[in-house]
Amino acid sequence: MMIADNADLLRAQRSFRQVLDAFARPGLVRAVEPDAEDGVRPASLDGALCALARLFVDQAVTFAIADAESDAAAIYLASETHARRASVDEADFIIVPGRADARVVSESIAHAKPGTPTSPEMGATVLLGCTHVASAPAANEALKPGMVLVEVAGPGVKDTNRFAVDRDSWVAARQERADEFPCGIDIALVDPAGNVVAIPRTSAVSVEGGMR
Amino acid sequence: MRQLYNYAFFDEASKREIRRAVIKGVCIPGYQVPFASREMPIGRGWGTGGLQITLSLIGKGDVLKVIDQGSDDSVNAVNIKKLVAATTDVEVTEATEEATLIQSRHRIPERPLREDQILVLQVPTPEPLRSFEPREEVTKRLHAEADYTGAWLELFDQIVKFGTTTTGADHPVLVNGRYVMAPSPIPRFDNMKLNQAANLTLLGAGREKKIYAVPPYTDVKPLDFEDYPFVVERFEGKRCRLCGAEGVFLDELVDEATGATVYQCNDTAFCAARCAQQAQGKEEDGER
Repeated sequence: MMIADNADLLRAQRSFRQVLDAFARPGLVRAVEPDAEDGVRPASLDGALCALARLFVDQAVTFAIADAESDAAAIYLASETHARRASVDEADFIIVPGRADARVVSESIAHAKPGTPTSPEMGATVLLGCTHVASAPAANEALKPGMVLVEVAGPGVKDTNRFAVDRDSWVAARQERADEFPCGIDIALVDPAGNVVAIPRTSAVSVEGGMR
Repeated sequence: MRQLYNYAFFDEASKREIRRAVIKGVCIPGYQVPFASREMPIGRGWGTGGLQITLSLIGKGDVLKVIDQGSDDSVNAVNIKKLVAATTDVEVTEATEEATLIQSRHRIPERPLREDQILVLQVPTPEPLRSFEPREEVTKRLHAEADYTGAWLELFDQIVKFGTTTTGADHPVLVNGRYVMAPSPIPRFDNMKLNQAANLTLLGAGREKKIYAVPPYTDVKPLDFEDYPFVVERFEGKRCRLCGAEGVFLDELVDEATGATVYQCNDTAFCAARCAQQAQGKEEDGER
C-alpha cells in the first residue's frame, strides 16, 4: 500500500467529476456531496454550497460572498480555504448564499468580472445557492409551484436541455451583461441537497413561458 | 518509514489548480488555459500534460485505458498506467468500451466513445499559430482578436507549393466557430471524431503549461478551402493483415522476409478484439 487517502479527498474527487460533467453538459442535473455539519459553519453557507466552493477556492484565488449579512460566512470560508476575500467585481469566485434575495443575485451576476479578450479564463465563476434544482418534470408531471423551467442550448448540449429551478433572476441579469465571447462568466446553481446545474458562458438560456 | 503518496500522486492543492483550469477550458471551448504545470516523475514531452489531467480527475470506480499512437503496450503507455495504478486503486483496461477515462497520445480510438467516457489527449505543441509566430504575447492577441490570417496562409502556402495541404497530423481545427485549436498530433483521419462527439475531450500540454477542451456536442471543423476541401488519409483497397478491417487507420509495414508492403490496424485494442472474435467464431464453427 503506497497510497494515503481519506474520505474527504475521495468525496471531493467524486464531486469534482459531477461538476465537470455538469459544465460539459449544461442544463443537466448532477450532484455534489454536501459537507457534513461541523457545528461552526454559518447557517447562510449550506453544506452543498460550501462543498462546491471548497472544490475550487484556495489560497491561489479570491472569493466574495455576495450578501451584506454574510460576514460570518466569509470569515468561515477564508479560514477553511486560506483564500483571500475580494469585492464582487474583483473576485475569482462569487458565492451567493441560497437566502440572498433576487436583488443580490442580480447585482452579483451584473458585477462579476468578465475576464479579458486575451485572458478570458479570468472571468468569474458564480456559485449560486438555490432552494431547489431539479430535472425538468416528465411530460405528464406538473412543475412544482415556485419553480421555473429553464431551457439551455449551446456547446455540450445535443438539442436542448431543460431543468427546473426556484430562481430566475440570474437569467435576466446574465443576459443584460451582454459579454462578448470569449469574455463572460460561468455559473453553477446548487441546492442544499447537492443538486447542481452549470451554465458556462457559451450557453444560450431562456426561461420557458418568459420571466416571472 | 515508508513514504505514502497522496491519492492520485498529487497534493490536493495541485489537483484544485488543475481542476479550475479544466473547468475554464470546458467553458471556453478551444481556448488554451494556462496552468502551473507540475514536475512529474516522467519527462516533459512524455505525456505530462495528459497525465496531470488524468490524475486530477481519476477516482475509485474509474477504469483507465492509456494508449500511445494506437498501442496499449508501448513503453510510454505502460509506464503511465503503472504510475496511475500505483498511486490510485483504479483498474486498467485495454478494451475501449470498458474504460471511463482514456488517456491517449496521438490517436482517438476507432470505436466511437460514449457520453460516460472522457478522452484525455497528450499535447506537445498546443499553439496552432506557433509555427509562424514565436511570441506567446502575440499569439494570445491573435486568438483574442480571432485573427487567424496566418493559420489560413500557412495552409494556402502548402497548397501553392505542393498542390495539397501537407499537415500529416495536428491539422488545425475551428472549435465552436471561434478558436483555432491544435487537436494534438492525431492523424487527419481522427479530426472529425471530435466534431459533435458524445464524449468530453480534454487536452493537456505539460511542457507548454496549457489545458484546453472540446465539450461534447460541439462543432469542430478542420480549416480548409472551398476548392481544396479537407481530406483524411485514405486506405482504399487496403485492409488489416491480422483482422481484415477496412475503413480504419492503418499502419504501413514492410515484411522483412519478403520485402512486401503490408497493412495493420493502428488501434491495437480494436484489432485484438476483432481477431479474438474471429477466432471464437471459427472455434464455434468447428464445434458444430
